[in-house]
Amino acid sequence: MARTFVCKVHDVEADSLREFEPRPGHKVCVIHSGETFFACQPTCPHEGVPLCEGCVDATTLTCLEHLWQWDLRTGAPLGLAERPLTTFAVEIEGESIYLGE
Amino acid sequence: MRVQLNASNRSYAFEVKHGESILYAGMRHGLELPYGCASGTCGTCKATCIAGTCHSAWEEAPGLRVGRRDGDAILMCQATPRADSTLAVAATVYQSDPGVCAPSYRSARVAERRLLAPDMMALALELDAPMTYEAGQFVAVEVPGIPGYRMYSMTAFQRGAARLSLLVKRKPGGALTDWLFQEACVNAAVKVFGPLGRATFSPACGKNLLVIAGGSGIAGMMAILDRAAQEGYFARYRAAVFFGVRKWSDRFYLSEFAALRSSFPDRVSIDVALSDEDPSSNASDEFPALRFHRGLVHDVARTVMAGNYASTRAYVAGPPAAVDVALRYLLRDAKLSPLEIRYDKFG
Repeated sequence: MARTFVCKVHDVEADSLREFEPRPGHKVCVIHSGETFFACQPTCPHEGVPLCEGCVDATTLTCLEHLWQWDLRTGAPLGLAERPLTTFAVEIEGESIYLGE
Repeated sequence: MRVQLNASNRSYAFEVKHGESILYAGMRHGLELPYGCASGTCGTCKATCIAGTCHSAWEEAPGLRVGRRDGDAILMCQATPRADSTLAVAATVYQSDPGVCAPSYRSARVAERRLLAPDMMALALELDAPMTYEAGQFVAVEVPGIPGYRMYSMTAFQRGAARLSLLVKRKPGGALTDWLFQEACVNAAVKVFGPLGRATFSPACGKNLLVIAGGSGIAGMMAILDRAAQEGYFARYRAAVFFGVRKWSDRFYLSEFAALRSSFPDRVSIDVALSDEDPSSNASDEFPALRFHRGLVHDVARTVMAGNYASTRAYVAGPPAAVDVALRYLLRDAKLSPLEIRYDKFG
């Protein structure tokens, strides 16, 4: 399947997170941290709280409900988190952000 | 009724009394169940009833709307089994460590009430049996004729306490606080379940304390500071306390803070943030040992702390939205690990 267009670069402000639905029924959380964009599952694997309400610092994503954290480069749980996060490869072409294969 | 609870690591079985919540029953049996507010708002104690029947005392509990919207999810703090039941909890559950005080029910009597601010009251309950609790914990209180428990934090630290000092904020239209704010409640019998709460302090943490609290969220912090003072903790460590209220007329505990400052002038700092107005011109005259600011409590903390977060343990309490902004600040600006942040969100 081809890569999927998600949003424009300027749709996600620096150091913020935003939820998109690039395909019907398939939501994704896009994270803009520093110069880098990441994408991951839209809700916390713990209790399903939307991760776009969380907070990002460099490559660490935190869900503010119970402070579960993950490394956005791998989805690996950090600290209190008991489960990994599903992350997606991000491709940027011009002003557009795509989810990779 | 018997409940079997399937956690992600193992399962447990325990008896639940008639009308008792599954959360309280499990905790009484020494299980470290997942919970936060224990009163239906946070959603942390969510579980699924996979066999039997569970009745929810509060169908519209806000905690059911937090996160995943499972149709058959229940909140253990609000649910009572109607038959022997099996529940699934998507969390690791261990038994309490030996020596930890499992919460239990006690009868109590309202011994004293003292108005601290127009909507804030110090309430003393005399217990029928002493309670040992950790600094920062709270109890669930039920009064006659008003169903359901409300949570109030202990404001002082004492082992084997026969009397609990609590802080009660008046809730507009809240039947229970309306009752407690009447003189007639003195000597009335109430029911207490506790101790509860994990935003606790032990001197063993060995860190400087950063305390951020809005309004009645300061209650548990007073017990934390009390224990630290009693144990000589400030001989080695500091405490930076940030206390937010809306207006000067909402202030309370300022004399207590001034006394704490005079005991530990080099180790304890107190900053009071007023969110809705400039500090009164005579605030500093009246309380020269305290600093007053206009602003949101976490913003004041960020400015005053100015990057000094070495070896720090943070305690945060207040309404959920205020706690969330404070958590962002502690994670992103202060770069604290979640392992060094304790917080209570209450509705």
